[in-house]
Amino acid sequence: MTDTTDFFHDRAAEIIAAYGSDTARWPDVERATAVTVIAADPALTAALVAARGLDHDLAAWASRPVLAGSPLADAAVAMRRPGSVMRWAAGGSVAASVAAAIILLTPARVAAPSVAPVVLSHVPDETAFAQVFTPTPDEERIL
Amino acid sequence: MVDTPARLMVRVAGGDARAFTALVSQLHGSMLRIATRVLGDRTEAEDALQAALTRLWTEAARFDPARGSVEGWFRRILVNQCLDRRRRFRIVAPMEAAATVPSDLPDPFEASVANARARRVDAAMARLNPRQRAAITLFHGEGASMAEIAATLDSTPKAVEGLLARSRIELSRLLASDRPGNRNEE
Repeated sequence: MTDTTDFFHDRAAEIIAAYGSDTARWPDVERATAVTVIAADPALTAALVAARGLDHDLAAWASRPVLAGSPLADAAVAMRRPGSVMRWAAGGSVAASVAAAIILLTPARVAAPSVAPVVLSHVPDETAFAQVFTPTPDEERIL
Repeated sequence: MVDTPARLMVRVAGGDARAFTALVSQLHGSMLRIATRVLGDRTEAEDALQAALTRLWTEAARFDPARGSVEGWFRRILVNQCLDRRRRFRIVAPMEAAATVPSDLPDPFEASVANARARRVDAAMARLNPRQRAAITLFHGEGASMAEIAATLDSTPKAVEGLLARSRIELSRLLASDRPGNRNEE
């Protein structure tokens, strides 16, 4: 094996190790060379097959909703699902509540606290406090 | 018409609370997903996201559009929050328990196989170090490029390649050790 061949062999092994078996995600400028080198080398071909197994596991992991079973979960899932208007609305409510909580409870930016009526106007009074992650001293007493 | 994050960010920097609310709506879902995967704990993820959003609100004026997107800038803040938090607690996710948890997906066979596979990955991910976990989350969970991950982790694309390679090797080892017949060999 020449030094040049060694270099491409080692680089192809690095690419498989780092990027996995999906050639579409490999560096554009190295993809064609890497594919050629791998096809001609049984050890690299075996490494590619082995990487495919992990990639299948990771694909199953990545495609599973990680937030199922909570309002935040529904919000996050709905935001990624076109056409689900009601769920989108739920997601918007959660995000808006978070935004309101931050704006209202962050002392460093006192200039823009005027959004509370806009953001929380649709939340029933008795449950409004639960939408704010960090309780105020008054809420602490209630809790 | 929905404003872009970049436009909203300009308004947020000026103290516009409505723009901040709109920006949070756009970022919330994807960023909560990232935080949950990096931390492996939804409550911690919600806390980290809120802390990161607080920084976005208080430090909005420091955002420089010439240096990248709002999403990239915020993702960096969020992942840093997650890495800081992950140093303070250890996720308890026994590999054995993950293998016996029943599927909660409706499709009887393939979904349960995929779900069990995903849970095994979850359990193995919990054993990676925080930066390895973040790299896997961003590359395989979010489809981020090496350059984007490098920007998020304050690293270089070449270093991220090495980090990902080590992460995948470790993940493969953990998953292999969890397969039936191998569990008693550790």
